[in-house]
Amino acid sequence: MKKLTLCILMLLVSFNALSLDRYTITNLVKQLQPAVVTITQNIQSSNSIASGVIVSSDGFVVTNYHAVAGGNKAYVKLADGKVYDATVVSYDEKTDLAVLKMGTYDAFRYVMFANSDKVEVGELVFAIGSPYGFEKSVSMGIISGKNRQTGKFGYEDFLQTDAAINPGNSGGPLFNLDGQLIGINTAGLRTGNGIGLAIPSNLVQRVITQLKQKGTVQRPTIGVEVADITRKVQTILKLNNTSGAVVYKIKRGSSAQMVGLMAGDVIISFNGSNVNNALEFKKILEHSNVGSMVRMRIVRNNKLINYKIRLQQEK
Amino acid sequence: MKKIYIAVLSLFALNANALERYTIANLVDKINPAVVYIKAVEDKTVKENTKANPFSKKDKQAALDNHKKQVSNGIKSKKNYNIGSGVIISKEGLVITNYHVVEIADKITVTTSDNKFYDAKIIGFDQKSDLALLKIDSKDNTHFTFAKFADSNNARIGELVFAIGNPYGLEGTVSTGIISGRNRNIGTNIYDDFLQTDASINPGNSGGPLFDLDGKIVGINTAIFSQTGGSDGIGFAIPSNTVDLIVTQLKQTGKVVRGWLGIQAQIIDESIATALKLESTNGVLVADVTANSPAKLAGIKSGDVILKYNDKQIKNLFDLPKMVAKTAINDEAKITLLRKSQQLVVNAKIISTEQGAAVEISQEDEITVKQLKVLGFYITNLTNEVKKELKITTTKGVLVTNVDKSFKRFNLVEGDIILQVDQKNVNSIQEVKHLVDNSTKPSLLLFINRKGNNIFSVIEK
Repeated sequence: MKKLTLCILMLLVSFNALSLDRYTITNLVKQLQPAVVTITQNIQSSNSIASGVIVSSDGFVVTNYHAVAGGNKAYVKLADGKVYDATVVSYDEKTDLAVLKMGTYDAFRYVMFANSDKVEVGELVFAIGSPYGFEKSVSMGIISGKNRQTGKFGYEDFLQTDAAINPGNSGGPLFNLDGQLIGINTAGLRTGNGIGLAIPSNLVQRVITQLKQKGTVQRPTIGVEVADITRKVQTILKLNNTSGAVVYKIKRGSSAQMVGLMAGDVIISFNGSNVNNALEFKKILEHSNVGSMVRMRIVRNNKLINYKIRLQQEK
Repeated sequence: MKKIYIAVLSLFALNANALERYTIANLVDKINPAVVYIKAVEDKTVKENTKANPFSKKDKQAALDNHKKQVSNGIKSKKNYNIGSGVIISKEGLVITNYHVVEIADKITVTTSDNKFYDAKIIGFDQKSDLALLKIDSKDNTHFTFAKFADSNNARIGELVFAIGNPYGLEGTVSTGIISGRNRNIGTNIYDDFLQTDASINPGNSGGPLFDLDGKIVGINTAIFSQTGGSDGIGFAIPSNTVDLIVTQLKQTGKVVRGWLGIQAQIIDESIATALKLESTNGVLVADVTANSPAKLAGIKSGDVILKYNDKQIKNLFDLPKMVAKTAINDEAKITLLRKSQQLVVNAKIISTEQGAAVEISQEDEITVKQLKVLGFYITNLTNEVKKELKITTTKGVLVTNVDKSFKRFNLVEGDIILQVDQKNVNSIQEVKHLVDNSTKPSLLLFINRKGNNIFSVIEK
């Protein structure tokens, strides 16, 4: 009898871990609000307001690069109204991310990162930020899509959400229902109502780790530009399927040119991982180390060719 | 064993707030009959025939304006109309909506969710809060389904809510979202105290209800912030407690009377608290007291901190105007002040805002022109010419004409009038320079007038 009751209890408890109630977000907002900040370069004007999120107890703040572009200082306003001077430590234009440091020895509440590779389309999320200067606004929605690219920035792998993201939300956090940072909202790319974009947390974490350590993001490259294989490309190149990334441009003096890679080559494997499309190739590159030698396999004229190639640093 | 049972029970009780796929659908079924659609028609044929004089310039202009309005609304008929939403709050058919929905109305039609049409008349309205109270004319003494008010003080940020309304004429539209923010001031007036929601609010939702998950009215949807004209996920609702209060007055007298104290107040932030040697940031700081106002007569002074109003703590800037507004006219309000570290209590006899508007401020004038640079900003004396050019009515203080980029502190901007430096009055640029030069402190407490509002501000040297 006791065992049975215990089972029921555990069932109920485990059920509750994923179930939603009307105050689920309320309770999370209370915990997370102190780690969300409003950022401005000019405190007298409400035009340049953006959002940000504290990622360490000693006051490192992540925001969008476009929110602080052109300046090396910003004001950071906390939920309790305190304003701190902050310096722009470093930034990465390609992902539109910047790292700020508040000039103080105070200790801060900060957020934990979610594993954005595990985020599911349809999963509930919420954003906190300062849309149009309405500080500490909370909006709710779901993950509408993943791996979105707009072509506006150099390196894109956006999460898409239908939570309201407006100017002023830029640089602010998108949270999952564990209260972890799942993305950094980027409102500079508004395409319509109910279509918000966020930089996934894993990319954010990778970029800011490098920004904090080296002040810059080192991106490995072999000097090629690649695209997905469309039906048309498949026909022209007489390929068996559309998986892989087709090379359409090779930089002069690059590793790719040196080993003899040619336009029209289809990369199907790189650094030990299969390549199914252009984004996958870019992601594998992003995770590799500058200077290392890696193996790659390509298809040319229906023949497989293996190369060893050195990863250079992208300029 | 019993204990475990209780534990199980409490888990079920916890689930009373839990959501499932039909939570909102079930509430909509129950509450939808209380939501109505409002059409407010302006009959211009009547007005033109009875009032307009075609030879009067003013009426010609008005007719022209009306024509423009019709064109922009795409309505060709002589009748101009507004569409909005509303909610029934009593079985006799009292309906709340926005004032701006029925503002133009010569005739109001209310449609219920069962597609019955009724005429309705305005019982009362209040422009400041943008609320109107209507009564449905029901010949057969229908008992209407009505909605109850939630306690909007308990509305929590992040809490799930839903709106029912008539966006773009799409009757019975339900949209969900959460409470995004509270106590929002969107610049309508000092009584602004909106709930913010990301539930879709569009034109036509105006006057309609925002419900909580008890199916109670938590707000009346009134405004949106939008660049597209439609919902960008930033909607504003008048909180139910405000609605309740105003509707009570409208029911009784058909209008709303608000109390008036005659002060300008500001938030106490940490820098001001430090400069004024306050132990906490509680209360609000009195920045200005209107001559002959109830506050002045009660002995309230600029620099006082108001801690309590009728024994209720003032927690934020928005509290006080609303508390004063609620006070009955001619009632003595008990005001707890902090002045120079001493608590004192004064009594102010509250008058109405209409009476308050009649209270005038007297003026005088002075001095000569010259610019002087102090720290990183430029100041000039307030001469008659300067005042005339900038339309300034203040007589005391000095004008900030420019602020260096290198001196970009948040707390001083071009156009500010510095009234005091470290709590000493200043009326000439020399006085300001003297006080700044002779101050040994790292920061200075300025008392300034910015766009007609007096505020305290701290600058670092």
